[in-house]
Amino acid sequence: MKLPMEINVALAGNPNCGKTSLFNSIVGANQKVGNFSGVTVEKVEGVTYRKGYKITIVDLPGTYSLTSYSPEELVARDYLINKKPDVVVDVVDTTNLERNLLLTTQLMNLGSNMIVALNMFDEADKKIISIDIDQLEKLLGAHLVPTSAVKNEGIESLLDHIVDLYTGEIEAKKNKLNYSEILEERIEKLTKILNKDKELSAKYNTRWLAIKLLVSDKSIYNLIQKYPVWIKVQNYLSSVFRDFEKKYNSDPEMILMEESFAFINGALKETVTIGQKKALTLSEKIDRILINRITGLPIFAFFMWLIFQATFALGEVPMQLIEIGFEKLGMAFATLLPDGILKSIIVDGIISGVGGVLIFLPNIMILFFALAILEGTGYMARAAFVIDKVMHKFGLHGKSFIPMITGFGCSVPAFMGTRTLKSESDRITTLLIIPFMSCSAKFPVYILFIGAFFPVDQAGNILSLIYLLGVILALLSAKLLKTTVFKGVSEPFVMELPPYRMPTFRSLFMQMWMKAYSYLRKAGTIILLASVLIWIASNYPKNELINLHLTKQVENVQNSETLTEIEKTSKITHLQNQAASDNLAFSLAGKIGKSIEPIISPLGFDWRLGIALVTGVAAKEIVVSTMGTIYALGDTDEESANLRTRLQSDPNYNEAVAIAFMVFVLLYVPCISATIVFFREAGNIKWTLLYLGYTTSMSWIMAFIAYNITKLFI
Amino acid sequence: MLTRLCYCKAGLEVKIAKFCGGRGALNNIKSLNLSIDDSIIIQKNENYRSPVTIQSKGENILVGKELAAKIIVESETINDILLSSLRTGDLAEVKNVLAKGEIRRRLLDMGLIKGAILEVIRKAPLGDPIVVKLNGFDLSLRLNEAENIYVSLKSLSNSSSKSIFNKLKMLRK
Ligand SMILES: Nc1nc2c(ncn2[C@@H]2O[C@H](COP(=O)(O)OP(=O)(O)O)[C@@H](O)[C@H]2O)c(=O)[nH]1
Repeated sequence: MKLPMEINVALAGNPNCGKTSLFNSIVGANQKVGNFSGVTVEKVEGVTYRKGYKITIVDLPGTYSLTSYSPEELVARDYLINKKPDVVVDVVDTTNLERNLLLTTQLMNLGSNMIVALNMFDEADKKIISIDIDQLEKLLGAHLVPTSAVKNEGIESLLDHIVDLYTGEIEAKKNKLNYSEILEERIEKLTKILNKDKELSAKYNTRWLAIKLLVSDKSIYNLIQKYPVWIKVQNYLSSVFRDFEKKYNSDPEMILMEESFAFINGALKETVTIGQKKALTLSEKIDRILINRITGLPIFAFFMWLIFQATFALGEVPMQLIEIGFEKLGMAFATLLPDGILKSIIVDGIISGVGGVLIFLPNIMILFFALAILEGTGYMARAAFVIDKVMHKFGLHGKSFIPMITGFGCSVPAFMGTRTLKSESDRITTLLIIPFMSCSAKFPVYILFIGAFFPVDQAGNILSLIYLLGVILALLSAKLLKTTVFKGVSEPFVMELPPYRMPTFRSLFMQMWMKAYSYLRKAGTIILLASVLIWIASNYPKNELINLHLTKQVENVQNSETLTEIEKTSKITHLQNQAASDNLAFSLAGKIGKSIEPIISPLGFDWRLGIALVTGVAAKEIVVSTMGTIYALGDTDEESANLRTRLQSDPNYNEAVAIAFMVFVLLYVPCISATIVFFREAGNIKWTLLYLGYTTSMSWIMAFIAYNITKLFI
Repeated sequence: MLTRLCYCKAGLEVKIAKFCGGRGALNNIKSLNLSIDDSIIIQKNENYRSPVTIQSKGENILVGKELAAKIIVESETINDILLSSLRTGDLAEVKNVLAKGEIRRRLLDMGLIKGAILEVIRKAPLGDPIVVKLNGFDLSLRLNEAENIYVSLKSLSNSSSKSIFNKLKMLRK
């Protein structure tokens, strides 16, 4: 329910017009992120108060226009039409009115109650001599308010205008954008036809519908098709198209766009006096270095390296703190609570589960801070521009590059990073191939198996081959997806390279914080639940006999007369490790691991590797320690000589099994946390199933091939 | 009007006005036996990658695209060319946008309409995409997309693309 003292405002504007910064200046931390219903387009909503009114502001996705091609544009448009916000604030970049006003003309057609925020007015002040604001207001049919998001200027005036326009304190300026006779005649005729349908005319602005029909807007076609007037509309439209083809050798869409730009240029000529232009702007000078033909690629590579290092090397420090902190917390609880199931669930299940959720935070925050810098300064578009040719070869977009390399660190932030991709097909494709970029948690598995089965001088080569295999499969998969699932969805690369700008710290911080928060709220809770469940699966059911047996044997050892104290401790440790191994084998995870043996035996894997793979679904770090538990070696890591010798001496294992296992770990389903984040980002279960099926079958097939090829050489 | 040899379509008869480019290019042109004020007829000039076939002094010669861009010719008619074949620095006017569907829509939204004036300001380090300046902002698009846009030359770039190297050379002299 809407309160009488509440005003609903929508913020519309081109990408890079400073809309996010303006939004942050207006609402501060009072904002929350969600999705527009049914699509994975981010919806940011904020609240502020002015003159006793509660102003709810929705930040619509940045778009150049309001057609129906991209989900962003559709979302923005549907919101404006269906939610009918009380006031629409159109944010424009005052230094580039020629292009920014196109969206304004479309909002004029919609008949929205509009205020135009002349943002970046501080910059425009330097370039432009003067704007005749009164006259431009008349022409655009909207109040104009100069603002500067970075200098925090004009914000209050903007809010006053919103309230006053809503209360009628100031008069709404309305102006219809009039086209030339050839278009107006048809628009009027179509409007008349549409008006005959009472339901349609009550619900929509029929002039706007008529214009959209003339420019062949698909979703409006689909809408009108449901009404009986469609037949008349269709007949009329086809005669119009024939007419335009014959008379003007053009189509209404082109003519309408020409006239819109002509209107804009006319209005600007009448109202704006541009000062003298500098020979070379600062942006041009920077571009001459940053994206020039020789230095462009090395500089790009350097920035990518920097982001990767910052995210993962710098992120390592807080990650370790989190790890230690939760270990300490676990120990504290362990001493407080009485022994028993409850203690083990709280300490080993919940506390380490929460730690497992928080451990991703440093990576996510640093990466998104870095991405916000790239977007805010304007380098992001350039990065995509520099690498696009390579990515396009595999059907990807230049912007897919960053999430892909992030995948070498961890899939969780990498999946979240795909949000920078605007098109659905590019985003889903990138999401689906990221798991093949070998994440750092898989590294210990490679070290263990390479160390156990290959001489030192070959280790480097084999490791490189594993990583390379991942990259090649990722790129080929992209190509495959683009020629099958996303066939015919060609994504144009038509992108503005915005002028370089200095982002504000507040805006960077807000973007980072919102990402971290939405990760915790949306994914964190499910990850926690899932990791507790997995923990239970690898500890239960318990076989009391194993523990009884253990207690008895430990007693025997302790009571023994012949053993020294040192021998006793070592014997007991051995017995405990054996019991842990038996417990694991008896648990649900162990049973699953055993039961998949027939499926994995063609790859040379026995049930032990099966269990390691099953527990690896919780987190890839666990694969190695599970091997240690199964071999009753207690706590082990990849460097442990014990585990290595055990693997070497096991007659089931050889080089071929080692290679196949590494290939399998490289390609099979990422950990449960990544899977949950994938589901969040892909937005539906269909893609998640494809992802699970694709990675699993790919890993089996490739491991099978690797196993049989390697067998030939040994 | 002056234009580049690589912009001329088959059938045109043009006169060589001047050569631009470094010493290597000039030597190559000399070895083709072309000189200023020669009249030549363009025989074949297809996409923006393959060489141009010209007839000079009764002989057919193949001129690579790179070289053809450095031969400035005087021509009475200026034909429309694809945006993708426009050289860095040249100014042109949009004549037609052939693309369909979404690509067309995007191009129109960015202001690539008939009559818009644009300049190719740079190419990506790997040659694709390109950046054009129009309406006071920089737009990048793939050659693929630029192949859908017909433009007509307004004026040739006044600085040669290797200006830094040329300046250095001049200094040494
Ligand atoms: N000088 C100036 N810069 C601004 C203004 N508003 C935003 N910016 C900068 O423009 C860049 C892009 O802003 P952002 O809010 O990310 O744009 P969006 O893409 O429209 O959301 C950032 O570097 C901002 O700091 C302004 O009013 N004046």
